[in-house]
Amino acid sequence: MADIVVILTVILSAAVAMILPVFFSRGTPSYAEIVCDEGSFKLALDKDASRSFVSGECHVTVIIESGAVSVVSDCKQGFCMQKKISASGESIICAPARMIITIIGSDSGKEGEPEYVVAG
Amino acid sequence: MWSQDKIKSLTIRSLFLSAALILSWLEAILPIPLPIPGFKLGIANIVVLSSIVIFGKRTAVSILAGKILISALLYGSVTSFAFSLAGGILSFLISIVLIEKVPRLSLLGVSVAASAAHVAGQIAVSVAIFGIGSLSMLGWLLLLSVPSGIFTGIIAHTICNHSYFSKFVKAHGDKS
Repeated sequence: MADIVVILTVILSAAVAMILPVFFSRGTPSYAEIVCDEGSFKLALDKDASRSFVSGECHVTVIIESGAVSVVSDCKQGFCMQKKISASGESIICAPARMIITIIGSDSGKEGEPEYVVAG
Repeated sequence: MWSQDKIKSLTIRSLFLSAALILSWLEAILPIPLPIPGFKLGIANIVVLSSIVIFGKRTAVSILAGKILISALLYGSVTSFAFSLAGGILSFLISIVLIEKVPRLSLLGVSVAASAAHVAGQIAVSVAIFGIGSLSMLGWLLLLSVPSGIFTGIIAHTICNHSYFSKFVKAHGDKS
């Protein structure tokens, strides 16, 4: 019985962790923010595009297609390539490349038009 | 001069550390094909969990520390060390508290809670390194920690109930 309580508690916590971002998503998806060894970049989601980066141990290409973001990478694990994101707040994390891609919404409070911004 | 019993005890503890290293190495080279970066079944936790029951927490913490340090040196990186350390410490503490304070809980329940704690520790490090976006993985990783915790819990339970180790607990366990 105690085991079932633990299992249900973990499942409930997982459900809350999955549902909460839906309530906290901020506006319509506006741009993808990419943080990696090369710096910090923004890619607009309203037009198809792709951009390659060398980060960590990998060559990573970020692809914007029909408002969704996906990744092609030569890293040995390739987990990041199995995920496609399109909603505000969603992320792709490529640990070997030390890269995180997050979709920022129009009401995120981050000002300015999407553009390439080198911060590193 | 060491007694035969002490040598036997040290040998078994060393074998547990070796088993933990082999299992974490297997996980490093055979990643689970899931669209969630870095997710692992945590099969090395079988050894840590069994060590807590068989040898006691003092020996178990040395096996955990040995596993984290040696695996990071042999086939890890600074990042994987940070993930492993945070997840390992949190899951170990949760395991100790549950085993000592909630005797009604079986190793299966302890293992599921430890697996969830391991995920929470890793996500905390991920948030520190990659930012708040890492939290988007928390729900899926917590959900996956349930089957992986059940899997490791069943195996740890089987090991601890093996007649050889049952006798070992009575004869050598430090239960510190």
